[in-house]
Amino acid sequence: MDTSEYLPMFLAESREHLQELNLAVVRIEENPDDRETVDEIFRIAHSLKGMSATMGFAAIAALTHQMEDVFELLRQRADGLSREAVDVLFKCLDALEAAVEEIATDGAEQLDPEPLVEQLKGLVRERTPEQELDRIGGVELPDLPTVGELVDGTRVVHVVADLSDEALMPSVRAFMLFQALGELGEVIGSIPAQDGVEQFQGHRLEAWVASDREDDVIERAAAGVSDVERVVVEEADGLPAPPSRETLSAEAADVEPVVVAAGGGNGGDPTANGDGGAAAAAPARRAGAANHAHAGATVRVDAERLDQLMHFMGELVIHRTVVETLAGDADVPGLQQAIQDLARSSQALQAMVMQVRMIPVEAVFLRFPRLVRDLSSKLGKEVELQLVGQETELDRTVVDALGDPLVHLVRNALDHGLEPPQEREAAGKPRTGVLEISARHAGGNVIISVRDDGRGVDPARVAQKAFERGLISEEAIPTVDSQRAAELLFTAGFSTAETTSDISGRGVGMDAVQAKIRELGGEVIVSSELGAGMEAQIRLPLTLAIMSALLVEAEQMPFAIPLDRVERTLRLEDHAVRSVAGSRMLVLRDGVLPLIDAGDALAGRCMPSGEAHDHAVIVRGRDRRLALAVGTLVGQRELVTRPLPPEVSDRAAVSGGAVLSNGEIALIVDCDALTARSPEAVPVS
Amino acid sequence: MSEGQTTRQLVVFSLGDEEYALPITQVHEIIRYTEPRSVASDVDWVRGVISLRGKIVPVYDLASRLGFASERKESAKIVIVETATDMAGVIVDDVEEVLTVESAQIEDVPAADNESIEAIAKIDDRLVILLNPAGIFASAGTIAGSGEPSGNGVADLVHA
Repeated sequence: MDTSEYLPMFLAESREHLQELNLAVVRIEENPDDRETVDEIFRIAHSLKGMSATMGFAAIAALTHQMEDVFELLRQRADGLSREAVDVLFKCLDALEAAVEEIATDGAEQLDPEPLVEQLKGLVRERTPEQELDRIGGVELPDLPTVGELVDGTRVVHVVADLSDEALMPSVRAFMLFQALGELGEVIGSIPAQDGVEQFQGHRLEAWVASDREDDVIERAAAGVSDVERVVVEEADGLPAPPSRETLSAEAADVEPVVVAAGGGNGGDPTANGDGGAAAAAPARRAGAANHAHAGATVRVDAERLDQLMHFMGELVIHRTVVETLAGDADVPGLQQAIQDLARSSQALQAMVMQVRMIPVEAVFLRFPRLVRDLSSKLGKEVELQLVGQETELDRTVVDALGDPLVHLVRNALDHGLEPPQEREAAGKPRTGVLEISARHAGGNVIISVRDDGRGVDPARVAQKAFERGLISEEAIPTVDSQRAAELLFTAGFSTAETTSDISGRGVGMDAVQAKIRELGGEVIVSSELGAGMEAQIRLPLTLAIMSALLVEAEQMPFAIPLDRVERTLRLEDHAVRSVAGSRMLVLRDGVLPLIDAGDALAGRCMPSGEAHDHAVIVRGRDRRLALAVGTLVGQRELVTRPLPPEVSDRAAVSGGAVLSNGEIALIVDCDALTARSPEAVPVS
Repeated sequence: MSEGQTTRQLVVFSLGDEEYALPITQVHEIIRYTEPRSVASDVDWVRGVISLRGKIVPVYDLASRLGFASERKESAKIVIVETATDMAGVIVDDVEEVLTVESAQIEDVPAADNESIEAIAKIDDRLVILLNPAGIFASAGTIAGSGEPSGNGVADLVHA
C-alpha cells in the first residue's frame, strides 16, 4: 500500500498540530486549570499519534504516545506541570518538528525517540498505581510496522470499539476482540497492547488491523463480541487520526478519505479516496457519530487552487469590462440590463473569492508565545506577550510572507529592546516588560505592529555605529535623533548586533525586514523613544491582486499609480518649476519636490517628448514625496494586477501590469523605486 | 530523426525573403499584429508586451532576434510560442501554411552555433528554417540579466 500521496497532507497537518501543541503547552503553563486547553492538548496529541502511526512513522507515534502520558498528569493534578516537565515537552515538540521536516526532505523519519521517551517516563513515574489504573485505554503503543511492508491487496483499517458501561471484564473483552480481529487479518497494533490486555480497565479499544477483508466484515466481527456497544472501522490508509476520546476538529475530519461508520455500509470501496472519498466520508461519519455533526462544514483547499481561482476571477473582471465597453456602442434591447446583472454577479463573486483567500493573521501570531517564552528565558528577561487583533484577516499570500519579518522584529525587540529585570527596576519600570504584537485594518491597509516598552534606540550609539559603517557623515552624527536612529537600524549595512548572537544575529540585519515587506508592496515605519521603547509598524495593502489606481497617460501610453500613494494632482502651469543642480524641481507652498518626467522614469528611455506634460501627480514613496509629470489624467480605476515578464528591465520603475478595458496594458508605477532613484530631495515639511 | 518515416508538423511563416517554421505543438495560437505596449528592456529584440486573455506576454521581434532588420508588413502576425515554462509572441511577416515534413527532409544546420535555429527542412526547392522555441527564450532570459546583446554569427548563417 502506498501512502505517499498523503504525505503532503500529513506534513501540513503535522506542522499545524505541532504549532497548536506548542501554543497550548505555553498556555497551560500559565494557566494550569484551563480544562479546555487540556482537552485540546489531548485531542491534538491524539490526532498526531494516529496520523503518524497510519503513515508508518513509528518513532513519532511512539514519542507522541509517551507525551500523552505526561499530558495525563494535567488531568490529575490541579497544580499543572512542573517547569521541568514543560521543558521536556518542548524538547519533544522540537524533536517532532525536526522529524517532520526530515520527512519532508528525505521522506524518512530520523527520529530516535528513546532518550526523550526515557525522560518522559521519568516524569510520569511520579504517578500512583491507582491513577495508573484510572487511565482509560492507552497502555503501550502498539508495535507498528511500516505500512509499506504490507502485501498488495491488504490495507490497514483502524478499529475503534467502545464497550458498554456494564462490561464487567473489559480485559477479557479486549482479548476477545483482538482474537476476533486476528481471524480476519493481522492485528499490527492496538491500544491496549495485546500482551498488556490483562491490566486493561477502560472502555475503549483501538486496533490497527492489516486485512484484505471488507470493512463491514471486520465491523460485524468486532460488533459480535459481547459488551461491544459501538464499532467504528476506518480506512487507515488515509489521514489522519483515529476518532477517539475527543472530537476531531472539523478540518481534520474533512480530509479523512473513507470513513465507514457503524451501520452505514455504503463506503465499502477502499479505493475511493481523495476528493470524492472525502465528500462521501462526511455523511457516513455523521450517520455514525453524533459528535461529528460539524464534519463537512469546512473544506480544505490546496492553496494553489485558490491562486488559480483568483487568476480566473481577474480574467473575468477584465472580460467584463471589455463587454461593458462594447455594449455601450451596441443597441440591443435588454443588453444593458443583462450587462448590469452580469456586473452584479461578477462583483459578488469577486468579493467572495477575495474573502475566501483571507485568513486570520493568527496563523502567523501563533508561533510567538512559544518563541517569546524560549527567548526570554534564555536571555533571562521577563516578558509579557500581548497579542492583539489576531482575528484580523489578510490575503493568504501576505500572511505566508509575513512570518519571517515578524520573527525578526520580535527577536530584535527581545534581544535589544527589552531590558533585564534589574535594569528595568533601576529605571523605575515594572520588572516585567511588555511586548505587544498587534494587527488592525486601516483603510485599504493592514497595520501590523511590534511594540516593546524597553530601552528604545539610543541615538548617540546608533549614530556612532552608522558613522563607522559609513552610512552617515561625521557632521551628521549630532543630528541623529530617536526617530532617525530607529530608521538607521533598518538601513542596509547596519547590523545591530556587534557579535552575531544566535537570537537576533544570523548575519542579516533589520534591512532584511524592510526588503521583504517592500517586496510585498508594503512599508515599515519605525519609531522609538529613548527609555520608553520602540515600535515597528508594518503597513501592507489588504490584497495584492486588485488595486485602486489613478490612471494617467504619458507619451500616449497608460500608466497606473496606486491610489494609496497619490497625494494629489495639480496643473504644472500653476506652479513654478526651477532647475536645481541640473534637476527639475517643483516649487510648492509646502516644499520643493523633485519633478520627474514619467516618460523618462517609467518607459526607461529618454524619448523626445512630443507632447508637453501638463499635469503632475504628487506621489508618496517610502520616505519622501516627488512630483511625476504626466500628459493626461484619465481617472480612477480598479485594476487587476499582473506580473510583467522578466524581459522588462529593472531600470523602469514599474512593478506590474494591468489590462485595461480597451485591451491596452497599463504599467503600474512603483513609487518606492521611483523615489529611491530620484535626485536627493530638498528637505520638505 | 533517426527513423526514416517519422513526420513533423510545422507552422511555416515568412520573414523578409526567408521562410521559417516552428513545431505546431509549441505554437499556442496566431493573432493579428497589434502594436505591443512598449516597455523598458535590456533585450533589444523585445518589442513590448501584449495582453493575451488577461495574461501579459512579451513580444519579440524575430527578425532582430535573428540578426537582421525587417520592415513591418501589412500582413504581420504574432505567433504565440509556448514552452513548458515560458510564453512569448514573435512577430512574423505572415503565416503561410502548416506543413507535414518527413524527417528525411530535415537536415541539421552545419555549424549551428545559434541556439534559436534547430534545423533546415528542404522541401522541393524551398528552404525552411526550423526554429528552436526554447532557444528563443533561453537567450532572452540570460541577456535580461547581463544586458549583453548576443546572436553573433546568426547573420552570417542566415545570409550565407
